[in-house]
Amino acid sequence: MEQRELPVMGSVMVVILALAAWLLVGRLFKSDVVFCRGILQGLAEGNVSVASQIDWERLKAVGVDVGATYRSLTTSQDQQRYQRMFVQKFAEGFRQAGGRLAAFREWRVHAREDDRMIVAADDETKQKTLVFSVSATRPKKLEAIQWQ
Amino acid sequence: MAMRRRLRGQDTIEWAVLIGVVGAALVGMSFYVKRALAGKWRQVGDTFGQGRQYEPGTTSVIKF
Repeated sequence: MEQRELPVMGSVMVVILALAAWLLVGRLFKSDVVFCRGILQGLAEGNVSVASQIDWERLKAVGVDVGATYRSLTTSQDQQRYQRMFVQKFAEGFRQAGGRLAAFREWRVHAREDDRMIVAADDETKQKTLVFSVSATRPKKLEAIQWQ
Repeated sequence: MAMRRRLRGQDTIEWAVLIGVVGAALVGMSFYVKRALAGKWRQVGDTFGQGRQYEPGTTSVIKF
């Protein structure tokens, strides 16, 4: 009786472990996608809380070195105002240009590098892919947004 | 209306970043504007005080 149950128990354990690994990997991949999607949504909606998820000193956005101006600010007060103003004005510009978050589809992890994670989303209206570069070190932060 | 149509034709992200950078850069400029204003106030003060600074015990004050 006990000898017959052992292979069954072993199979169940393997299935459980495989399921746990699959869920864990899925969650890891999904978290990066959710992270980038949340930042774009926050920027588009003018949600200032996303500012903490951005590496302002290194930030490059569609060919513009946003971090260069940020680095030139000397006081933390000015830096915080810069962050707030950027997020608010980004949302304003996004609305003015008729941007829609729903236009960005097929969110996925595009590549994994040693020090960064690349997440991509397709813009169906422009037939282009928007690529997000996120630092792999904790806390992870957005370093760049660019078209591919 | 024409402006809205023109904006729609542009890439939304490019436009949003541009507006964001320009708006945020104004914050950086405010630092220089504040310094320029402070300089002007100093200049005005120097004009009235003929370059002298108030020093308690040394500067004589005339009360009217």
